[in-house]
Amino acid sequence: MVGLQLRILVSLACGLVLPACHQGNGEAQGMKSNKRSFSVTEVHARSEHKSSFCSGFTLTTTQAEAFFNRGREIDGITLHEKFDWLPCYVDGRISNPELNMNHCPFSIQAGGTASIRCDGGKAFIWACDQCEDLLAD
Amino acid sequence: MATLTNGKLAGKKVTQKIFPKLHKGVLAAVNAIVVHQTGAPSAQHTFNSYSNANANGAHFLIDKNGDIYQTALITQKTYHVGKLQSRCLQVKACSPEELTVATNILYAKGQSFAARVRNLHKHEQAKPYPDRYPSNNDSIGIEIVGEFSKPANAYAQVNAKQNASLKWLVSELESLLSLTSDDIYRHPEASRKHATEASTAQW
Ligand SMILES: [Zn+2]
Repeated sequence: MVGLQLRILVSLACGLVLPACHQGNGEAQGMKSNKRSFSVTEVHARSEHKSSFCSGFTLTTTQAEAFFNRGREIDGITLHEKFDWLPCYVDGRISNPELNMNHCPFSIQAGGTASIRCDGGKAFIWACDQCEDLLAD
Repeated sequence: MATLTNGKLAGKKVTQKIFPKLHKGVLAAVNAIVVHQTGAPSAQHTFNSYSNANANGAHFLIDKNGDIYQTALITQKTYHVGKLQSRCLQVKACSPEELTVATNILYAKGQSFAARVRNLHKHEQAKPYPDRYPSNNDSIGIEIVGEFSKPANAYAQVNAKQNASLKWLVSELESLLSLTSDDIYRHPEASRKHATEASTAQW
């Protein structure tokens, strides 16, 4: 009962008053939206690095789905502070009915984050800090 | 002209808003300044994150309207740089021996990207500045409020008021800390961050 009251209070405060809740709210939305129903198609590797640094970085559709299933939505502060950006990418298309993603282009970069950009301007930053086994060559 | 006393920059243009949770130990020397963008649309978003238990951030923050806040003492380290790139690899100036060592670490087969990047960071940290890029242990950070646009996949443009404040702040700090223009870096130059971060910052 107390827990429920606290949750209601926090959601009211987050929704109406406190910008402080932005990050936590974003993370919470990411957690809530993790319905583990990602479906990935059309994966292909891309590199902006001129050397062989990125060579061998590929993901199968199953591995790309694992990246999204293990990960979460993050905000820009978390992207800046917690994740590296490496110029090695696996691009593809992703669907998730729970998140209204329908065959949206995505790009996973080897530092552990991904951008997903759907029609109509809806976009996500996704991140996985438990995916070191996938982000390898 | 600003003054520096006990790690605090005093001047008409600077508001003190110190977040003790950013402090990660004594900063013995300042060799450089690293310029960042926050990834958030307002200063308040960043201030809120600075109050979290495991807060990371920089020493100064420049708001959208050009207001300058000091958020950490200059006498304290903060975690704002992350894992160092190899400076000699980036500027193509490695000795033949160092080129072999650095590339063996960076291109090691059978290891995750995270492990390769971590190992190269450790290797770089053992070098003296300026053979390496500045790290958390010898630099201060300036954050500029700027959102990371998800649709555009890029940081916002630094505006004219922010650049004017950045120019003033960098100039004062260069003078007070005996730094030169060669000691000022954009974050993606020193570490592994999105190339557009602070790319439109001018000082
Ligand atoms: Zn930065």
